[in-house]
Amino acid sequence: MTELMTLNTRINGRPYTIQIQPGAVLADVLRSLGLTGTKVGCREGHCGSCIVLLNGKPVNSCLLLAAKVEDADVTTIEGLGDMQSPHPIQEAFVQAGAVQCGFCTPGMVLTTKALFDETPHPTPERIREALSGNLCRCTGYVKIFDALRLVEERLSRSVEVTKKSARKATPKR
Amino acid sequence: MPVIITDYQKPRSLKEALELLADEHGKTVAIGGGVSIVLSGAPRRMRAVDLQWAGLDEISTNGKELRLGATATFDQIVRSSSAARVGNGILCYALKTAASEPIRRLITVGGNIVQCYYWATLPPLLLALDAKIHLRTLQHRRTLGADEFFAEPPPRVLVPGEIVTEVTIPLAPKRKVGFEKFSKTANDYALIHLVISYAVQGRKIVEPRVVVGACTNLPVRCHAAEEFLEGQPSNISLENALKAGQIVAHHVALRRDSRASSAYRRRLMAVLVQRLLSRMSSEGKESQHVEGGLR
Amino acid sequence: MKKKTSTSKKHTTSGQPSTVVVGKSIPKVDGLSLATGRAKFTADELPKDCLVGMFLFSPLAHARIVSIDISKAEALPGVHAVLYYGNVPRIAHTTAGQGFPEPSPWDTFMFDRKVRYVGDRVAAVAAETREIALEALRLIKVEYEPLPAVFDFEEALKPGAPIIHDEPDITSFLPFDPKRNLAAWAEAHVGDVKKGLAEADVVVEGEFETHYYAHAPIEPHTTLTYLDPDGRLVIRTSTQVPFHCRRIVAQTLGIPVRQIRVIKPRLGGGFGGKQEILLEDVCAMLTLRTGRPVFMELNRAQEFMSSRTRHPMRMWVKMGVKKNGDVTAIDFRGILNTGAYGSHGLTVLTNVGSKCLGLLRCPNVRFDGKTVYTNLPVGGAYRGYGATQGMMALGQLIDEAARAIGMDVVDFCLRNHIRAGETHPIFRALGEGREGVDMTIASCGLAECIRLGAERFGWKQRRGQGRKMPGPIKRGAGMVILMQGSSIPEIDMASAIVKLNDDGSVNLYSGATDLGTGADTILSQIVAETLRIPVSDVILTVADTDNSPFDTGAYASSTTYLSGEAARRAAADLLENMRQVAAEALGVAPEKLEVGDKCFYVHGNARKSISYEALARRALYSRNQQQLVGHASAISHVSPPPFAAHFCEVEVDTETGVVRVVKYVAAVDCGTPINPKLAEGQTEGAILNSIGAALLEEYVFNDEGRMINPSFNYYKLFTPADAPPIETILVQTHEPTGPYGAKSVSEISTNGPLPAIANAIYDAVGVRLRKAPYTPERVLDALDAVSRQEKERK
Repeated sequence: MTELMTLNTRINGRPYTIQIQPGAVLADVLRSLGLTGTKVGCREGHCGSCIVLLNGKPVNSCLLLAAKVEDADVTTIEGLGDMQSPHPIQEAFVQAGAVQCGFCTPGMVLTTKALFDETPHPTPERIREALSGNLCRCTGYVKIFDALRLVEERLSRSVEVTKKSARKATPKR
Repeated sequence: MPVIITDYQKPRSLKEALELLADEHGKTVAIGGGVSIVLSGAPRRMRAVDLQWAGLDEISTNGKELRLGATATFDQIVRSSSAARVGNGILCYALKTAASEPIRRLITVGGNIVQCYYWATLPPLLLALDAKIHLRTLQHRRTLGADEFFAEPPPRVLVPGEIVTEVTIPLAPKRKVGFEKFSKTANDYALIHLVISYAVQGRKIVEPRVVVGACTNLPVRCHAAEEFLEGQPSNISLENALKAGQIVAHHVALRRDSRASSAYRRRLMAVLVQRLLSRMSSEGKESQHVEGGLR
Repeated sequence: MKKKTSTSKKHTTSGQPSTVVVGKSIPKVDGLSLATGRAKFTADELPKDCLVGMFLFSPLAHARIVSIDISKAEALPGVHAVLYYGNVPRIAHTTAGQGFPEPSPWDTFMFDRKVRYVGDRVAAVAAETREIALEALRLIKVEYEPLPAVFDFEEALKPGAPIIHDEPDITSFLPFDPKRNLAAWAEAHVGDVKKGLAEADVVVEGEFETHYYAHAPIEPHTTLTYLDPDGRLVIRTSTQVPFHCRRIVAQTLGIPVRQIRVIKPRLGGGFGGKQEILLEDVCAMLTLRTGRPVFMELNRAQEFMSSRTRHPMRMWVKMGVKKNGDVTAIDFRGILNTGAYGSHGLTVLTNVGSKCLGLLRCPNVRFDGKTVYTNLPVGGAYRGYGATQGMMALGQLIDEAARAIGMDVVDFCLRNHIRAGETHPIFRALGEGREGVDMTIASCGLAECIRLGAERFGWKQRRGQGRKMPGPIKRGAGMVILMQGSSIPEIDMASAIVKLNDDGSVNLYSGATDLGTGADTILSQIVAETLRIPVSDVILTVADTDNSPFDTGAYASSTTYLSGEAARRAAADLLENMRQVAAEALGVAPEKLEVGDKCFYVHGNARKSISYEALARRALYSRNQQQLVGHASAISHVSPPPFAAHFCEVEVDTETGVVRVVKYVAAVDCGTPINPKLAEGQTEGAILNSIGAALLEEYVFNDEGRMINPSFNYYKLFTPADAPPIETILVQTHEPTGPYGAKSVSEISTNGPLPAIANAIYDAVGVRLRKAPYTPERVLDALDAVSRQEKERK
């Protein structure tokens, strides 16, 4: 057995100090912590069901050596919202019919979050490029694109509302 | 069975990295993005030296050439305004075709050119752009031109304990550069890479480079096609473009590929060369990059 | 972001009562738990003391196992069990998840002394960690005696071909001749095909071939087994068929059914590939041997090679037509390649006939099919189930026939398709392991599908126009009409139990298996509609053999139609029982009561009412106490087909051979869509899957029968960056035998792209691609052949 090493990192805003195998990949480490929303589908970096955000940007956690997230910020799907207070992107996916078996959904949602953090009005080409690392075998992608349109609408509306009611404390998700 | 990493080192400087790599060089491996280690099939126990924190990720330009640090990722290059100055954005365009965005964050300059898988995107570009590859061991430094570096499989070019520290690419603002990747789907491994560049002097093609990759084991220049194009009118006729395509198709030494027959790839090559040249020729401006029209 | 890629218009038939929640695109009941990553798939809940199970698979296509030495593997610290043919029961069975007796040969053993394809089972281990398991597999010493192998359909049938199944203890109650590598065969003859062909003005014919491709669900096959505190075996697995799984594991382990519980958690896609008992028997055996929980998962390469695939098929089809468009005869002969084992080998074959040959009015039809063994990966259930292969051929032949008589193929289809009120003898002639069932079509919106689809697509503007485009890129348009079925008549059974709670909510117990299809939502909608309660008042317990009544499982497009009907009847049964209690409580005759929102009220006196909550409490606590329950089973005597018309436009690059789909419109009649958005989602997913099969996906084998591209690196699926736009139109009809008028929708659209794309390619460049996939090389080869012919003519 190989000697374990210590990893200090932040996951969903919380600091973690964990003992890991030096060669462990992040997906397996996350899942061993009970964060099973991150899936493993291919271990080759194609399906994207393992995608998490590293310092806000999507990476394939099945290919990322866990040691590399030392002192970094990792966001998994659990960090985005839950059943009691879901993130607008999660709600939009459900409403648009973009969730069938749901296995690709965490990765899709996180990629979408990063995309809209970068630009509130991505072009269709940019959307297709940004999502090209996320495979879905169920939907044919049609309703996933619908979901992103809905996300754009929802997020820009909430920006409007925030601007208009600058004095009121609006609970933000 | 992947490589088993027994020990993980995170050097904070180049010197520290080189010292670690000089030690037990049969058992240490330098890690850029780490993808090839994670995917590696050979069951061996290795000590990992991760270069992520060794200060090798800089992207900068002094107005004459672009410097790419060995651990700069494809994603960083794609977003870099300095890198955009090469071939008027050809690097940004070409590296975007290399892989999906999340994967681009894990592909490093060093990793891509040293592993030099047949589908790698940087090697044919560096060959066509007359890049230089800078290498270091603890004791020595050397610089190789891209022709020399890619003349044989790069892992064999490197001596024990040696790593790529950076790559420099002349900005060459007056040259036209064109890039084409042919593959089945957007992020697929390329079936064919094609990079063509040339300068125009007195309405004639000067110092052309015609580089082919992905259908060869290593990126190669097609000298026969370059000789043919040298001195031809820069307003490339369809006839000349077709002829150039046939020359490349004829001369290229194809690797075996279960995805497509050799006959088909030669035929495809001729078409791709003709179309890229025609597009480069018709795009009017003097210096710019030209995007391939196919996936 | 203005481009719309999906629109659904429901064109309703009049006369049906309006519904409150059925027919509405309510969000999936499990949608949020999936979108927040909280829903648990098999691999997400593993007990702490769980062992890792792994298979050793064969590197050879055909070989006898001379010896296996497991001693070093067993001795490795951390290894708890090693299984191989020498230490497990030898019980012939099929892995096909079908009703008993399964209409597939019982030609499989847990482990055998022989391997029959690269990827076949050799042994299995259970160890503390993945690394130890991998090491243990390496320590198993196997000596093989290679045997000659056969990889081609027709070669396998020739006398002298290597016999793949020579064991004496395999059986099949169906047509079966393993000595000739025949896993099954089926024949049907309606009318007189020879006469029909002679009467025709034109006969068109062709040889067609479909290929090996994969389901490729993003979640691979995964199984967890453990013993509960009472010593019962619990199997938590990614399956479409929990009840068949329980029965077949009992059979192969030699333990009683009552000792086993099968639970289906969330499933990450299946598409038919999980209608199979692939890991569960071995995983369970490892648990029995070690006493520990065991988790097994196929890696992606194994998912390609060692699970199940589409059955390739080679077909010879002839069609006779008259100049006026009448079809006088269809002669369909085919060989299905089932690979090394015969699971689903007969039933896929008969479906080729029953789902394709009944589509057109034609008095003379012959079907002659054989299923052959080869030393290649194993075909299994794959969405479409034979209709996909059959329509690849028939759909093209229809296009050829129409062209041959100078008729627009849209008009040809409108003229010849089966109508409501009609039947076809082929339905009776080709059953699934028994005789088929006569049925008269009760609902058919195909004509409207064709018309609306053609209009939305722009058929007149696109058909026949793209060949004239300047430059090397040509465009073309093609179409196809389709039918499928809804459940297997007289064979499939579903059941449901609905129980009333204190607050007027209900528990729905159903064995129906949601594999991402949205079945849980559909069933909830149906129950909610029947009881006049909100969907959120329906609590689901599904697909757990201890807690759900029987259901054959998610296949044959039976969930909405049959499981849904069982749920509806169970809810109606409960409602009747509730009515009796309400009547007693209100002191009126039951017939005088109306059903309101979560209440009963007296007709004409709305204030005299009782809420469900009050009614439930009365029944549970106060008077004539009882637990109010409704239950029902459902079988079907018919298999009402959904219908569809698909339209496709392609671009063909005549210099590179690359084909791209640029527009795809599908008009679908699934009766009443219980949830239109989910029905569209099924349609869109099925279509992209088959466009991938038509253009991108194929198994590449080397000369030794090994698949050399078992990875997403080389086996390519469409990504969002290259997926073509797909539009769906739902055409509503009313199927009297289905819950609220519903038929199935999940499979039918898989059958459109292979023929529609080929027809569009022909329209663009005048070449007919009879072999799938339509790769750039095949396109160029076909174009070259045409130019050569033209040169010779000059």
